[in-house]
Amino acid sequence: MDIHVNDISYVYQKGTPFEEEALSNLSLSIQHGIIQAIIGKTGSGKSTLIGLLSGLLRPSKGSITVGEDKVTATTKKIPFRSKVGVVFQYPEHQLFAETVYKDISYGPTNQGIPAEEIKNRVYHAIDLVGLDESLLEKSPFSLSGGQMRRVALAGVLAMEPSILILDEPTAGLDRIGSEQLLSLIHHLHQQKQVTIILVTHQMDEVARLAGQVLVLEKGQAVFNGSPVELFSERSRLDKLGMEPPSLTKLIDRLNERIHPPIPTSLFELDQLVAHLELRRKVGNNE
Amino acid sequence: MGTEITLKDVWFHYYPQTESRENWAVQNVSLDFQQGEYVSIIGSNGSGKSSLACLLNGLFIPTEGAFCINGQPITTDQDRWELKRRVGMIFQNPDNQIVAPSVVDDIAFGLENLGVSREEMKYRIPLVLEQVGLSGLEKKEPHHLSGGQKQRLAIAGILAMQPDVIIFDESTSMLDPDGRKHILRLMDELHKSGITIIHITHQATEAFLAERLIVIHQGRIMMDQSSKELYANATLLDQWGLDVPIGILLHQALRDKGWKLSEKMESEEQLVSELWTSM
Repeated sequence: MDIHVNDISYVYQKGTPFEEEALSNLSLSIQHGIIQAIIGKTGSGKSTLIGLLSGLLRPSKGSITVGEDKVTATTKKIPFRSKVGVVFQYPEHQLFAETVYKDISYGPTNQGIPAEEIKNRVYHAIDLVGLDESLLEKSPFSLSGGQMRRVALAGVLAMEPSILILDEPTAGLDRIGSEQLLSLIHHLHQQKQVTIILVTHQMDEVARLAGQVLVLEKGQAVFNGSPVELFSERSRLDKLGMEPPSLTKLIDRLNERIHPPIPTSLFELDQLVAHLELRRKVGNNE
Repeated sequence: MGTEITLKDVWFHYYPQTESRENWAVQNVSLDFQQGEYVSIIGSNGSGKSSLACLLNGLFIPTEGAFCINGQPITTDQDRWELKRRVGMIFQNPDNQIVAPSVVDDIAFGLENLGVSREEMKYRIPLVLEQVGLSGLEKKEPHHLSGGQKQRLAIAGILAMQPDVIIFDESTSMLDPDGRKHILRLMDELHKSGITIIHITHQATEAFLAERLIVIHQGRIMMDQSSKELYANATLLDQWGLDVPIGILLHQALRDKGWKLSEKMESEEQLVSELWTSM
């Protein structure tokens, strides 16, 4: 299910003195099954774009096509809303039911799915996010922060979306929590072939996971391409006011001394080690 | 004379009657913070670092052990009132600590509670706004500020009370990179002006900006060292669920491959120069 964003603009409170254009003339194609990262500063239009891609907002101008479904400013019912799952920032704040089971089953119940099928989906979802069955009858509020976040994610997965939008999924989690969640996202992507749209400030996550990365600035797309392309050109990063991933930063520091420079397209520590090993061997032979 | 904070054999738990001691949030902690230090306290989620923060500014009372300011135990409400002025705290969520309808009123709120005169407020408020870089936004409604600006407003509110110590409890974790950098720079400036900075975080890269690092895990202090010493021992951080700086990981990987590098690295700078010579 490919996504095509065709020259859209979005204006908040149109026709009032508070009118504000949050996105202007944005075009973007997201192929089915990729991990698309969206990055940009606060106020760059990321949240508005999420709202549009999830079918919660209609574009003021232009159109969005998800699979066969097209949405413009005048579309009444947005048909793709049920195909897109959104996990908002700090999703654990949205848990509400008395038990983990009730919380996860809330979404599919609203979609009118039969009870037996819901049960299967709940069990499948907790399996996917790595939660133990013994937690199902517990109150979600008695769980740890990392567990609560996985309950929230399971609730979205139980609706079986073909497109999954994650808004800063690792914000506030410590290293172990973050790593578990990232490998979960990676695993989901491999196993379920869902399209994942990842909104993040963490460049290490972009470097590790994303196939394509969109940079938004003041409502406009200022870059869309591969992470290698984005992080290898330091001058562009500086212009965008962005920090490179931590390994790229280390390579930059090494390159202040080492000539010819180490390529900045290396994102894994193993790659850097292999590169340095090779250089050392060549150096010793000379 | 400043403020020296001392915890001596402190134990703390929310429900001390019902939990056995090995599950208490803070266990047998003795620490001393001199005026003007810049310290990071690092620990993973649930390590007890936030409980420790609340003990340091008197928000929590130790279940056992002593809490002293300049050698004097804090016991009466009067002591605690004085302590709140000397030791300010900035929390994680900027939305939770802003109360008033405008930037100026928000800073005045804290001062009014302390009984500071209007005249004095008119002198202090512009000064602290300048210090945190919010001059010109006096009349702005706080909910129209960005997350980073809100956090700076909270800091201005604390600074106006002229504290000796500021505790930052995960104060950068909800901010975007710009907001984060701004707060970290501000911490450094405040430290240089003589204020004690205690920064509680789970991010190793931010923690290493401090002069001294304290690692807490399951309520206990695991390490208390200068940041250079701790950098050299940073591989240990992994076992407590904390990030190991990437330079240390590279150092370790290359040594495993037989590179002749010093056994201990005190900084990334040292790694870069040693790598260069051995290539």
